[in-house]
Amino acid sequence: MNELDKNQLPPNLASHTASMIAFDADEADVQHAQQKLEAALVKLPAAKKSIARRWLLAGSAACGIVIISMLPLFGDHNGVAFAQVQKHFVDFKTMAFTIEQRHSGQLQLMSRVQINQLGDVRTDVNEGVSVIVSPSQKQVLTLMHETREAMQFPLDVTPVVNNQTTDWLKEIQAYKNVATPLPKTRIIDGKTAHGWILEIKGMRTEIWADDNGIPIIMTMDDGNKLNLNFLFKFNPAIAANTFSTNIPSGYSRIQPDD
Amino acid sequence: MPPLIITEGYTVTDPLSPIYISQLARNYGSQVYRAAYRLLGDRSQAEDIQQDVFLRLLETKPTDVASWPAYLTASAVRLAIDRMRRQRRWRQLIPFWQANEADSAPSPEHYLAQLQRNKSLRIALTRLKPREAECFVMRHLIGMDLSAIAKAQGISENYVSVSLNRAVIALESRLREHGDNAKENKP
Repeated sequence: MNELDKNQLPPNLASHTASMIAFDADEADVQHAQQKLEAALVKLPAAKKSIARRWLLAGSAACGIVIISMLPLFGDHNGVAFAQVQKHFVDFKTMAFTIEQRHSGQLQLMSRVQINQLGDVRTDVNEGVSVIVSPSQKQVLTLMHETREAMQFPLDVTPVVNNQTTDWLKEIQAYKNVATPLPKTRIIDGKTAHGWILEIKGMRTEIWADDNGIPIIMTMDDGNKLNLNFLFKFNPAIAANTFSTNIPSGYSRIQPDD
Repeated sequence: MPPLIITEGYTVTDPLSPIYISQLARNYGSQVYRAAYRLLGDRSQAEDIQQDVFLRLLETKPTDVASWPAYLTASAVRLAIDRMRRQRRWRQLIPFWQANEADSAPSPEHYLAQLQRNKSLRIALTRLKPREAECFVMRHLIGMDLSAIAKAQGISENYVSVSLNRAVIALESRLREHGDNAKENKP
């Protein structure tokens, strides 16, 4: 390899490249990475799996998957009063909720999710991106609003959310464990709310519902630093085109990266 | 494909057997990591790219590799640019990611301008044609010579020169367009 020939570059560009080169990798980091690499190659299948998972998390599916993967967590529990709460999760025609994802108290993601009876799910993340997973249209559409770009691809995997026969809804219906009622009520949005506490997927979960058992909020805490806060609306009016997976006018199609 | 000399004193001629790849990793892993880090400025992402480069060898099984260091560096550059492109699309939408980028980069005040320049150049690179971006990075950020780039890319040296020329013009234009102080919120 030759010397870097930044002298051949125009001054402004040379300055930028020199700046980037100045941030060289730390030798200890290089050695650490090298050790991890060699260890990973010893266990190739495990390493490949790990890489795939990280790419998945970091890639474009992240937003949608965060939401979809949470949906099964709604399931579980019992208790006479809580059965009413469960029923609303079963009988809804439409459902909308926001999710705040916080780490160490700091807001990381704010998402709004809308679901219809067909199992179509629309997730809007931080106002900038929308992911529509539509089993009824067998298609997924991702919209990036600032750049007016759209990615569209077929839904070739059965989504978690489908309709009343999907697993996560069945799980709620069939839940037999005890949801412990909380002793005191709260006022949420001017309504008296009743709470239950349970553990879902190792996370301490509270669900608060109004006098009719309609869920209002749910919080999940992993006991470490992660908190998820849900705010529900059941059977809200949702515009017909909310779940359309057609590319809207004014958006240009881009190819999925992976 | 040249056989590799294994340190214990024997050679491995079976191309792309796990032991061959392990030896490649031992010989060139650091170089691959440094190339990825130079572009991405982030330890964990550089590690991901480093591992991915070698794991992909098992799937792609490249033949007729004239120079492993050039090939592997080119692979790292390609994957890193690809990742930067993805990040540019998504980071603009998710402020959390913006707030957590480049965890390895120093952040004293006097480095801020430098960080901004790095960011500007990364953004500009993601907007080039992939081939041009790769040639530019290999030449001007990694320091590969034209013939090594040509071999790694499978193109002629003349085409490398043309790609470099185009890249420089496009980058200059982008950087001028945005300026170092541009409020570029679309990394």
